[in-house]
Amino acid sequence: MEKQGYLGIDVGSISTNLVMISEDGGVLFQAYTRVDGDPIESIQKALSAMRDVLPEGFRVCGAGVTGSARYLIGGVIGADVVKNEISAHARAAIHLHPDVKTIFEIGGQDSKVTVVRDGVVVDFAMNLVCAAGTGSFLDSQAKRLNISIEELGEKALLSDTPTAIAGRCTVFAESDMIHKQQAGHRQEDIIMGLCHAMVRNFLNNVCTGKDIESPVVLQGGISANKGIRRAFESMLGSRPIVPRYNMVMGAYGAALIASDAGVRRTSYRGYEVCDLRIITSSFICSDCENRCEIVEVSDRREALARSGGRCRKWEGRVTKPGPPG
Amino acid sequence: MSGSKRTDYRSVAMPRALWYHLYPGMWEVFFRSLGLSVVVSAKTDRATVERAALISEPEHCLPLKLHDAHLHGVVGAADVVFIPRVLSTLTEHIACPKLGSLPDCAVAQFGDETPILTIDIDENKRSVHRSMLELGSELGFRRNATRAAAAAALSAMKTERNGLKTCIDREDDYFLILAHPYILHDAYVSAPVFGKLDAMNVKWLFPDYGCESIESGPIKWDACGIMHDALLRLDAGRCVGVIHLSAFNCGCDSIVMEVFRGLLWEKNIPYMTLVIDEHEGRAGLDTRLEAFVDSIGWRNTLDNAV
Repeated sequence: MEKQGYLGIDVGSISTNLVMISEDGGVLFQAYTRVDGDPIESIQKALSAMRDVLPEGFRVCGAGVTGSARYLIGGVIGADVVKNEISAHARAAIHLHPDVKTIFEIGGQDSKVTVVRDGVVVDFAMNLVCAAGTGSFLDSQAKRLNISIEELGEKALLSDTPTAIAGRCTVFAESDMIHKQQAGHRQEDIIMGLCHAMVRNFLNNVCTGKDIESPVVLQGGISANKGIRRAFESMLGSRPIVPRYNMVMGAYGAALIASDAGVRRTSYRGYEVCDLRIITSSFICSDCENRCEIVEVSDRREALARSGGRCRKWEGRVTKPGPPG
Repeated sequence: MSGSKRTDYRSVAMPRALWYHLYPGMWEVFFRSLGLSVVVSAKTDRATVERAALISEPEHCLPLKLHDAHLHGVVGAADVVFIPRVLSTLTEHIACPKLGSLPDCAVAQFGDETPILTIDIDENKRSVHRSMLELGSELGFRRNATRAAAAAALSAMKTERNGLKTCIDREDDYFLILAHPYILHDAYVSAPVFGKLDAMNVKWLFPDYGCESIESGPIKWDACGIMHDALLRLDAGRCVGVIHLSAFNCGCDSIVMEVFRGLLWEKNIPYMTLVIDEHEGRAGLDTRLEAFVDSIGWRNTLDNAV
């Protein structure tokens, strides 16, 4: 077993993912954990699980963080590199599939398309505020049908005549599904119709104006769903590649980027992070009329990180606000 | 319009939104030079956005919602509220049609509480300078006084505009920011974007919205026409990328975006659209800006390698 490596963490809206890689980019450890409302606790759990797997005395040479909570978590764990999730996902996909031309990444709250040519990102797009093309759309519909998300994927494959479902909006999709179910459509056809609706929504909205060419790599939480894979295949006319570490590609990319960065001395706090008693508090900044809420994360001794506010003055700062004026 | 004689107005109020930003600094200097005291609503802050969400039609674009909130804030603050009917700010072009309805909407909504003063701004018929002269004479001011006020107003606007970074033909390694002036000049809306670009140490410029005329092109909306004209002149060796900041639901932008995308594709200049609305989340905005700047860095590495 390797004695040292680079850590990557992806703190998304639904899952917190963690990957440890060796110096040549091989994956030594990976974890996919549900956030369940507390990203810091989920990281502590994943790090403890990693401690049980990696050998005693394993040295972390650098740590990278990505995902929507990257700045906050970067401060907590002492990351060397903080990277946006589009670059992180692309880094990992290109590493595993150097000939990739299109990356579809569909997570819990957002979905993205990244266009790659000759191993570099040349274009990308993300969904807007609407969640109709994301994992939470499927999650909520699975809940409504009272089946697990895994069952949903399996069931979809049983369908040979998918029902047409309106996929423009979760609200319409839901009422449409109820209507189709009352009209006597089989459940597997409705489910496969749902997968089609979601993929159609993604291709029509997020991918508008993008140059979609094969090979296509499909990653993110939703790439585990067989119904979705099948829907992509039938709509693209070719089977998308689902990479080996499809669920944790953001974290993998963050680790690779940390390894690229040539970190001399890492600022990563190590397993000490597991023992931090994290307290999250917030205060209202009174420096201007906007009165933004600033979130502060601290352990018992010191403030570790802050985020929030329309201006950038609190980002990463760890000094207490002075008296107004 | 009102029962009182218009020469009796001693003060005028205006919302700091939409059309106000099309003529930066101009209207208050005009009225002040005529001896009126001027009340302009305070700059947009969180309270303005909250008020907009409360009182405005949910389907409106953010700038229009903000106009409603700013207007609400100045009704009663002066003898009269001024809202011009902006039909065109550039010859051979038209303004977003929503701007033309604003004075009527204001009368419908607040007509019982305040008189609304308006004047047509239509560059296809007369210059904004002449519109000011007409407004002055309607208000009963002597011709000389109105002339002096209009001249002072135009010169104030020119000074204000000179402070903007618009020299796209002379700078290198910059990002061009496309956005309607009422987005650019409303710091509450645009500051998160500009702040992020500054934090990443990238240089950014605007097209010159103060230009008097442009060559007639396919796009007939005034600000969008100016953006298009700037893109035609854009040099891929100097401009590294174009960021289009657009308000959610903007009909004009939704159409021109496809034209811009095609044009920049041919010029091999990366183009990204950022849609903004009243939702506070900044994470998505930061991610997009970071990834865009990243991808351009990667692209340059590729170009250098070839």
